[in-house]
Amino acid sequence: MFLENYIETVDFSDKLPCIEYKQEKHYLVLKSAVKDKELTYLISRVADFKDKSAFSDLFKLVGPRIKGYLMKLGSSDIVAEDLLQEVMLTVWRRSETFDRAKAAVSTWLFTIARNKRIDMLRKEIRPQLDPLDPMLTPNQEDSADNVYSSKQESLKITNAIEQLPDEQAVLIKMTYYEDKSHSNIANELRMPLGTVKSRIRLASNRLRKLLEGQIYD
Amino acid sequence: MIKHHLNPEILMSYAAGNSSSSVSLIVASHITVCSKCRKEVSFYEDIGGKVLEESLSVETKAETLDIILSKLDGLNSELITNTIIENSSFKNIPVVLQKMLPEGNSLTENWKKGIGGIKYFDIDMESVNKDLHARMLSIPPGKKLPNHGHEAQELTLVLEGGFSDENGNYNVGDVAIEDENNIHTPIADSEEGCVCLVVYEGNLKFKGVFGPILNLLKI
Repeated sequence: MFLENYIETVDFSDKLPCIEYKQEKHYLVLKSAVKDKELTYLISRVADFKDKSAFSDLFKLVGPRIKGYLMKLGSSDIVAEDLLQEVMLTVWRRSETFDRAKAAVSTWLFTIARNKRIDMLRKEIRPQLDPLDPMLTPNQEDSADNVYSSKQESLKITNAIEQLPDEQAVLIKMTYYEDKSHSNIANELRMPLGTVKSRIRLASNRLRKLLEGQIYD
Repeated sequence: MIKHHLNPEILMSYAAGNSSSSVSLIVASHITVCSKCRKEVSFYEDIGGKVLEESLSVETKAETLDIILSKLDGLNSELITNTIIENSSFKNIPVVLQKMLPEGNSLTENWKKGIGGIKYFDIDMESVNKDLHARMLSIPPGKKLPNHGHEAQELTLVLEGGFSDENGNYNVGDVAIEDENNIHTPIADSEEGCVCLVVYEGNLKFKGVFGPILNLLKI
């Protein structure tokens, strides 16, 4: 995932003796959980010590992927580069607020990239939940709530979407890969808005079963 | 206890980043007080994280990292500051929404006065899209609205008091989702009245729960 293109050239073993590497074909592959631990470690180095070397490693690991994501959503190379800079500067500034117990690294990076993209491209405010709002209700008591990595990283989202009926999969792809609102989707597919919404609802239920039902697969 | 929640397609759209600014405002306000919907948003953001993870890598320019590194010095940490509510009149309003409202000795002090004791405040979403509307409404106790239907989606979040209609009682934190072809006769709570946030996308008319009032107030 994040690491597969990079691990060939950099050896983290001296920095991270706790992590086991597995030789596979011509490059080293890290297990999902290990990968997340790796990125979490680098972010903690940035948070605690303003470690530019760790930050550079983090950039090399996630930068090309973030750029690819931004371009998939329609940004040109130039715009994606600008956005990537903004994302990484925000990562530097917000590293202290990253909480592994609350979100996977990939989720955290996604929300930063999502917000920067909206800020730059739409030039409109995007109201966001304030995580320190005194009105915030406590999270539901569910022991599984804070365990993100193991269960959800077992199945790739691309594979999960493939398992949806075609008519639902296309709507999820347009939502996440093409940044289309429900009314844009309805116009483009010449489909009633109500149908778009009901199919997305069915797809969301199915995705939850697919992604959360898989444990240590 | 919140009984009326936002639906999966609205929460997914918010998490994916393609809901409008006004819908984002009502989602962010609702999930402040609704842990169930907040958890669901987290799940949809996890899907976004997976989408990011599984995107194809595109090589960055050779100089990009150096440019970023050169900007780090002097850059302050962006700790999310703990929000202190100094104005007690905002005590029932999520912080994300407080930031959009005028300050006053009471919540509605600087709102506009409409007919029948109703007060309202139009939130400026600073959007280029003028078909997005977000309005705060304060409706006196027991106020009954005429039967009405509507054509497009309108969302109403109860912030103080509540209202009732054919679908049941809506109390603090509840969201009413009005889609096409529903007919409603909402009545504001007989003791506390109702303070709510209403967002509507589309033409110039509000047609949802409090649509008749919103239209009389001339947006």
